[in-house]
Amino acid sequence: VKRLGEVRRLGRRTGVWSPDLDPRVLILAVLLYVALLVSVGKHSLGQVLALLCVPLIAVPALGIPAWAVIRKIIFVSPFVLGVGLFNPLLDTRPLLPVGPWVLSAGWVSFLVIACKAWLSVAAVAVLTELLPFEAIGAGLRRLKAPEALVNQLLFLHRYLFLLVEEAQTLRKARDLKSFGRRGRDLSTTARLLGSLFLRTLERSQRIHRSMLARGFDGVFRHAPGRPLAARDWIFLAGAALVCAGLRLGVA
Amino acid sequence: MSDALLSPVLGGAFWAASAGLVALSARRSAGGAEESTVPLMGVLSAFVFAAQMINFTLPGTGSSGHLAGGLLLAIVLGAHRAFLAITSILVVQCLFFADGGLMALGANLFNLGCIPCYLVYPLVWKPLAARSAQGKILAATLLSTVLAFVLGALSIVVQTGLSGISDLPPSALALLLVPVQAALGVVEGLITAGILLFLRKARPDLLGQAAGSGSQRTTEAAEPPGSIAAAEALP
Repeated sequence: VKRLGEVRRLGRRTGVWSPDLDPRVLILAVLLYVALLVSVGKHSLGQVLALLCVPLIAVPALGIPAWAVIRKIIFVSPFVLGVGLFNPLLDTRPLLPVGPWVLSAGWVSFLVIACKAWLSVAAVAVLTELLPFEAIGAGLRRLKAPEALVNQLLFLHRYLFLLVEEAQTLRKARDLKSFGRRGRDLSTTARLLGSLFLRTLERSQRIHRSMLARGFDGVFRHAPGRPLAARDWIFLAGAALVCAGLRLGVA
Repeated sequence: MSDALLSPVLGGAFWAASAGLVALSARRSAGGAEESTVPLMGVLSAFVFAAQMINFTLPGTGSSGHLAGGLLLAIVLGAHRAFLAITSILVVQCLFFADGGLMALGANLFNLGCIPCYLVYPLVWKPLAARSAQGKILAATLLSTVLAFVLGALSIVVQTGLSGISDLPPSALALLLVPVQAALGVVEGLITAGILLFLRKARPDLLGQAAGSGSQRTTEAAEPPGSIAAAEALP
């Protein structure tokens, strides 16, 4: 529920830099950053630390609340860290001298895995902080993502909160009428979810009727976006140069 | 799967494969103005998120679980539409809940979307649950969810092994991952079967047509599902 509240907060954020950039450019820049991050070698701690500079500079410079990014980073998949933690146990070759100590290859590769996981999350967090969901949808559409997928994403985003609130109401009603674990068993929950499912189907039917009443003819029409301007190209080229420079310039 | 454990070559390959599947499913899911497909897919994807708010106590353990929803979507929407719906769910999870990462999105689409929608649903659930008898639905759903979860876990093991970033041998990772996923698959199967059996009583037309479509040899690849037609017939 808290995570969904976070999604809703993104629609109402203030103080964040509102880029007068084409959303395609921001999406491509973040994709490029993540691709370069993933391409960092298993033991290339220097390269991954160099790429750390991007969010460290971008987050405060763009007015993005640091806690919003940090909170997401903290909850990075325990699966990734759990799997990565086997590396120090399995690869004990000495690799990187740090002062009086020498880090083993396993510890270096674990640090690279952890940094990659954190930075990948940070990159996505920057994108979602800068662009409202509708802008991400418009960007994907103009990047030639299938129309059906973009419409599906926008519908999901629009009805997500409505249905979650309905589910929360159902859960509260169940909990108030339950004693101990009674009412929280599988069969009761299945019936509860089944009725929510039927209500959802009926809701989709009402939505469809509303669409037809407003003249929906099977085609979603959108205002044509502006073509890429010089500032978009400059931003994209700058982002590519900085990311590639940090990735390739460090041994 | 996560960006941190994936090699760029493998991530790119799964991106390309999943993009192809998304394009195919989008083409097969297209409907005219008279079809309520678009709002139906959108709200059912939102339903999966909403259903995760309603947790339940796992029998014998005291801990709680919730629905994942992949197979349920495939049964109700059909393979192509369900794949598109799962894609949207994974994109939202990736963007807002930091699950997986952008490069791992292709691999996750394969593990969580392609396997239940294009392998398990048409090859296991549909043939087994075709006559929609209560016991058959329960058995087919349990088997299908366990298979989907185990195959998804094995796929993660293969992806991790081929990427070569983790030093953990694939056999050890499989030993860690597969039993947990199989247990989660049983739980998912029980709750999915519970919902299906509830729907069977409350709206027999809905499940009858969804299951019945398994026995029909339609010329179009498993589309459109009966439940779309059932949704159209709602009062």
